[in-house]
Parts: sequence; C-alpha cells; structure tokens
Amino acid sequence: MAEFESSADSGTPTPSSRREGVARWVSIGLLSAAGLILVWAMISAVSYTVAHTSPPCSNPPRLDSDPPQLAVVSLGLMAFALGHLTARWQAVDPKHVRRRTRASSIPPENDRRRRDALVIQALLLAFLLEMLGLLIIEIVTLSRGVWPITFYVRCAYDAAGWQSTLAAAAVLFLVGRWFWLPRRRWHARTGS
Amino acid sequence: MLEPAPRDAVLFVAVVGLSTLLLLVASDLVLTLQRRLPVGSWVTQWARRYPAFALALTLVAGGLFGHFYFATP
Repeated sequence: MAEFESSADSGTPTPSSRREGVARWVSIGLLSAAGLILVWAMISAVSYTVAHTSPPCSNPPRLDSDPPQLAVVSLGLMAFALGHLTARWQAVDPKHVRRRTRASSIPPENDRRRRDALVIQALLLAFLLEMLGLLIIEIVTLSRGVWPITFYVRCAYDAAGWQSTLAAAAVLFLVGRWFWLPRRRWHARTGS
Repeated sequence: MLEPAPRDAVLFVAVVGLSTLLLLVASDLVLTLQRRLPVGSWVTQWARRYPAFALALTLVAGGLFGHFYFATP
C-alpha cells in the first residue's frame, strides 16, 4: 500500500506500508496457488472419469493412504489458519471502505461499491445454493444405494493421496479466508 | 454394498462444484489486485448484519465439510 502510506514529504514507503504490500502479494500468490491446485484437481478428475468406466480405487475406498490422515488434517488446519491470516493482514484502499450515507451524491446505478456488493453477494448465493445441492445429492445417493460424494473424496485420497491433500488444503485455505470472521477492530482494515 | 454413481453424474458434480469455487477465487483475486474489499469482507458484513442466518449456515457448512472430509471407519 505504498501509495497510501508514503510519507507526505519524501514519498518513501513506511515499514508498515511495506508490510501491508508484502501481505497483499502473499494473498495474491496463495490465492493463485489455490486456484491452480483446484484447476489441476478438476482436470485430473474429469480426464480420469472420461477415460475410465470404473473408479481408481477399491469398493469401498480404503481409509489409509499416503500421506496418513493425521497429516492431511494437520495440513488442512494450517491452510485454514493461513487463509484467515492473509485476509486479516490484507489492507484495502480507504476509498473503497467509505460508509454510505443517506446524503450520498452518487446515484445507485453509478455506485461502484454497490455493484461490487451485488456481484459478490450473487456469487455467495450461488455457493450456498451449491452447498444445498451437494447436501441433497448426498441424501439421494445414500437412499438409493449409490456412492455418495463422501466416497468419491475417500476414493480420491486412496488413489492420489498427495494431490487430494493439496486440493483439500486449497479448499480449506479459501474457507479460512472467506468465512473465518476477523475481530471487529481488524475488519475492513485500511492503509490509512 | 454401495455402487459407484453414473459417470455423467460424477462429472456434473465435479465440474459444477469446482467451477463455482474457481469463480469465487477469480473474483477474490481481482478484488485483491485492485485493492478493493475482498470476498471475506463482504461475508463479514453480511454475517454481522444477519448473525442468526450466519450461525445456521456455519453449522450446515461445517457439518458438510466434516462429512465429506473426515473419514472414520
């Protein structure tokens, strides 16, 4: 956030602004890594499913694989905490955290902040509807004697332990980043 | 013993499930690059405004994650 925290006379970034700049680039790097891991997992799952008629594991899938479950859970918890920390340390441009007032002169159709909020809320709604869909699929498959989603997660762990562990860590990083709420004084931290 | 699901159903769930996540990742990346409020801040604002809904959703989502990921004998 160098441009928001430079000292007024010299334009030199302060240690605090450098730290926030690093936090922002760490966020960008880890978000990109999580996205790439998810793309890799999706391509692997789709290509295997298209090319083969049976799952790549036993029926039912084995519960032990490499890495062991304790390592998977530990990595997942670390990714969850890391996701929260990157969101907490990330600074934003103060002009994007202005509170709307009743006397705001910006018409709603031109208010960029309001448009951002609508887009994000629509995406979150889609995400929550998807969770509902997954829950319904889990119930229907179990009631009809078909593998539920849980079995496919276990199968992926059985057949490709490290790749599945990385994918689980990527998902948990995102969950920690989006859904672990910061304390009030940290919320919407600005570079000012 | 349970049987594997039809291939089309597996493909549908894998593609739809991961694509939504990827769309959110892309949004978060763009917001972060532009120094705007990231996705987590919007979630926080919503959760502070509707704490009961947020609690209910947290319980459902947490239950689902535990169910999918935590394999016990």
